[in-house]
Amino acid sequence: MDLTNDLTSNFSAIDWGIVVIYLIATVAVGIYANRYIKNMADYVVAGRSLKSHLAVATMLGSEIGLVTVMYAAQKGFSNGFAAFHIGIAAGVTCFFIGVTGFIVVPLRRTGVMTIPEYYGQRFGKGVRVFGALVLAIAGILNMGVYLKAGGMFVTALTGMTDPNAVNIVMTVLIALVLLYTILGGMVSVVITDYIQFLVLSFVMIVICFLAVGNLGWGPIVETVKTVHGEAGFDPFNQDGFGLSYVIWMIFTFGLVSCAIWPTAVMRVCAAKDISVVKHLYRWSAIGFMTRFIIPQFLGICALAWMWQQGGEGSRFFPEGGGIVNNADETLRAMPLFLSQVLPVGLIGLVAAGMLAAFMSTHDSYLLCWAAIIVEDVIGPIAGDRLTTKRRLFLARTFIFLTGVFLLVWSIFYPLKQDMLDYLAVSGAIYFTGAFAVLLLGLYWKRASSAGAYVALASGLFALVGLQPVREALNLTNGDLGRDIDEAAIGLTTVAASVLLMVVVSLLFPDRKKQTATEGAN
Amino acid sequence: MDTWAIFWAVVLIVVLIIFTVVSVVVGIGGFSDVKDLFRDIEKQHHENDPTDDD
Repeated sequence: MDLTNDLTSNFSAIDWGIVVIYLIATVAVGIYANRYIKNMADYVVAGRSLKSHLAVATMLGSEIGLVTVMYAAQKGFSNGFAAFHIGIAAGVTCFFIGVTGFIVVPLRRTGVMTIPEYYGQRFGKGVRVFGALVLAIAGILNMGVYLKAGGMFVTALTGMTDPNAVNIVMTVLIALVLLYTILGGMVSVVITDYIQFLVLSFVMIVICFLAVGNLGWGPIVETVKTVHGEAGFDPFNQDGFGLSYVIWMIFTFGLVSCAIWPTAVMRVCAAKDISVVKHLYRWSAIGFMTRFIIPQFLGICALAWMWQQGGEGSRFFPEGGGIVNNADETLRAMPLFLSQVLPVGLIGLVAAGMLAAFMSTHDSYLLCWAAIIVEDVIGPIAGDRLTTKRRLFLARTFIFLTGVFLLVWSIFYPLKQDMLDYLAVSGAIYFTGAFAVLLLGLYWKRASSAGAYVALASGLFALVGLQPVREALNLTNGDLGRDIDEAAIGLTTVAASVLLMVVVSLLFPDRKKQTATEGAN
Repeated sequence: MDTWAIFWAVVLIVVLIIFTVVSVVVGIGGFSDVKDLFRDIEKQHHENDPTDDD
């Protein structure tokens, strides 16, 4: 039964009108904000002028985007209530960072604009350039599936069933994002993040109440019991996530996404002072928890709704139990559900809010990778020859080229695992090494540049966690006694990076720098 | 399984309440921060040499 094509969306001409007006207004804000851009600091960190409320709104605006909503909902659909542990891990870790200032406070004190700039300050120009390259590659690869999430959301919500619709929507979306980001920079990002945060938070809260009202709490819980069993509630159950996955999530969507991931660090760098940084993290803990739990709940509601429509043997629920083993299908479930239960008008607002969120996430990330390539790869090599005008031109050029790559990757890469797992693995190429370099660089005087090179390079091992790579290496067929999952590969990479950096730093210390530091102390 | 179901229900309710409160607080406070942001950036431009290397 092709449930996807059997359903007619509630999306109407009025909803299209709302979307168009909202998007035009968003682009207008970007153009307006462009007049405040006069140098790279304005473009990248909004002149370091963010205050607490706006910093929180913009951080949440970037982090609660369409992509997050899609992949979190997919996890709720695929794993039930047990997926909530990811939100708790993220929220508790973010609050811990806000209280202790772990990594972010010493990083802010250095006065750098990006993480690679810190690498350069601490370990020299070579590590800065190498670290920036690893970061940009991992980050752009990580973004590779964002467009697909946007395209699927729009087509499922609006009821487009043409096979080419996803690709056409992705092309239109990336064109809009590029126009907007290239024009505005960080000032426009923070303003639209703020507006988008207001709209999206309102919309998400309303949808939750509508969904429970529509389905009923009891039937939702019963569906999760029937489809997922104990593993749908207990995150430590080996039939579902299991302990290693929970630890992997605490590290990835807790520590890394708050303190290591460059877009979060950019907010740290843009904050006015250290007290704003800590305030930002304590408040953002709620958002970091919410951004997973609320969309995951929508995914669970989609599961209950689809089950009520088709039950076992339907498109989402094959004979023999469980859910369909197709990442594209499970990704589409939540917007398909929304297209059925939301009324005209509200569905348009949801689409507009989500699309604005999509743009907000994209512009933050595109800006981030472009700034890193220009400031941390080309800048140190070119030296003083790079004028402000040329830097801005290069940043905008790289934003455009990245956009083209994203479109090509989205169309051709076969997503064979849950999107959240793809993001964790591709991001790990950078953050496993970066975690070691930041942690030891900030807190251990004997950390050396040789150790930093090795730690950063070792992050490439995380690529093995991508499903097509695991399949190619026969890690998914149980030949080794059990499947080697992405969590085990990721955690091994983290441990290896830290260990290698310690060992290599002890074997090859930075003699000159160490002496200079000791002298200064 | 039922204990977990109750636990997750409580988590969901708490998250929804807190998120609503934070949205209102950040929404109101953020508005004045936006005005301050534009004022601060203009002030910075005024204080620095506007010609720079442009």
